[in-house]
Amino acid sequence: MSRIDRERLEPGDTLTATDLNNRYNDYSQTGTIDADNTRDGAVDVPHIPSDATLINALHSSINGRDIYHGGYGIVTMTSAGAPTPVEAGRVSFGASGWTFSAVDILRVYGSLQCNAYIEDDPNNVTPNHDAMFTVPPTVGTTAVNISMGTHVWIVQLEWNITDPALATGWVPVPGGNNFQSQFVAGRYGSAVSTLQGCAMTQAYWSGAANWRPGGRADGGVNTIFKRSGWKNVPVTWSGFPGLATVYGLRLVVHGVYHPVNNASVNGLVLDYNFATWGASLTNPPEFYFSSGSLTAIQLRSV
Amino acid sequence: MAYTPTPFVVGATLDAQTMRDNDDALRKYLHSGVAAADLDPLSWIDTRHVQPPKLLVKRDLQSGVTGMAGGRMYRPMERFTFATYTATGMGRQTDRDQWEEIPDTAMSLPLAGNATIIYHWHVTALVGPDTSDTGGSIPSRLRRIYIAPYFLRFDEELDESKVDKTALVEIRQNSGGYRPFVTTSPVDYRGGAAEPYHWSGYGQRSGVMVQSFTGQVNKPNIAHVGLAHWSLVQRSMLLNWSVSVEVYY
Repeated sequence: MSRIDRERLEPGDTLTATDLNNRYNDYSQTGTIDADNTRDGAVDVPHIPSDATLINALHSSINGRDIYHGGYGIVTMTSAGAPTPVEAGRVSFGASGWTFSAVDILRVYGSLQCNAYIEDDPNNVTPNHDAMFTVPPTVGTTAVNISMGTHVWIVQLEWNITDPALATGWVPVPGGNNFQSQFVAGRYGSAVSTLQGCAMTQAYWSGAANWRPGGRADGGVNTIFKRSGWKNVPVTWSGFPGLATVYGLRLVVHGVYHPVNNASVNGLVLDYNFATWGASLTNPPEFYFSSGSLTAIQLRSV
Repeated sequence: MAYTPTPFVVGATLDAQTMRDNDDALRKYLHSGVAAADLDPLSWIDTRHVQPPKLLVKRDLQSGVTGMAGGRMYRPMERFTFATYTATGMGRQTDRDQWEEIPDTAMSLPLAGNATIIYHWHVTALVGPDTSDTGGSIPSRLRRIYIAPYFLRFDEELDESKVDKTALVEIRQNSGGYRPFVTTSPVDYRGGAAEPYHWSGYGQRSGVMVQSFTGQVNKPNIAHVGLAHWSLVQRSMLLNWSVSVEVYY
């Protein structure tokens, strides 16, 4: 207990010099002033580290496009091999970059206006894509192949800690995967545990109507799908970069992925069959992106 | 030790002037900078030193240390916050963005000097469906609401130039309209929205705004940050929302 929690003087008490000296000397003891003395709101300068808490802050639009989806960028699906990320916008911290000490935190908030464009029904297609399930027919012999509706595009945060000119050297932020290795034999992807700095947005919504015996006149089901339309996808990341200089951040897009469990590990892999089906269409599924923003904050943690 | 009181002498008169001098010195000491050596070296700021949140029951608004939360919180389908041109009469045309505040999402910050303000928000919105013909010339499939933060100084008013559109998010409306009540066997629609709300019209969005505040001459150093909306939809509401703010000198 603090020494300054001393009994108060009450009317009728005999006041002596010792009483008063004890009272004032409470405040001249080394290392004894604490919460009980300064109380609520009395946080003073020595309580706060002398270094600035906020080192840097940047908030910027990232690609110069307007909010009405004019002149949007387009990302096409990867149909074989490893994905090729397409940049959707970047911010630069200047030629000197932001220099991080071991105790500095980087917080990043991103947002991207995007539209997972799809025109045609992804159900009952040729070839069957990977994220489908087959429903036995109740009438006739033709099975119904229903998409699980789990296809996603990935919007991923990358940083550059090597090239002040931001020409080369972009890599995922720590904890993120570059998707350049196969998660399942023959299919590139990533485990869920290495998706930091990634946001997923659905490529479409799919389902079935009349999912009950006799729900439709012929006893079958109606497959349905919905388009996502324009919306915003948020991307966040925070962590300790360590002793590093960060020169810039950017958002990249790649896809289309679907979830998979491989050897008891959950992850995402590219669906090449979906891309092949899409390529056969007059209007293949694509990812549109319009305006966006990136916010970066460098804080000192101690 | 920065604080050295004048001692009283046993047997001598206890002088009121000495007490007052000691009190003044103590006040100055505690208010102008406690010597580091006098402080308990352990971290001691805990929940007792943090302002507890307050709940304004009638407005269903929770106000805490760094932010606020509102919308539907305790009972279902009650006390929504609206983001709709029905309530404001503004915003349904696309030729010029028109912004209105979202009630209760703003905070006024009395600042001691130049500062960096970081404003965070999160909303969960239900937008449309709106197939009415009162939405101007906007096709139903393009109707949506835009949400963005704004930043005002002491004597400024909200207009589109004060809205930070770099931090803007959009939520499209439910694209379908209403399905009528039909009892034709075997179909038995009970009416209601024709499209699933959880898909296109149900939107969780969040965002961040960073603003640099520069102290003003002969004016209070008060910054005002909040959320604004530009709605192209007749009916839209925020089911839940929260805002918070960080300030760094």
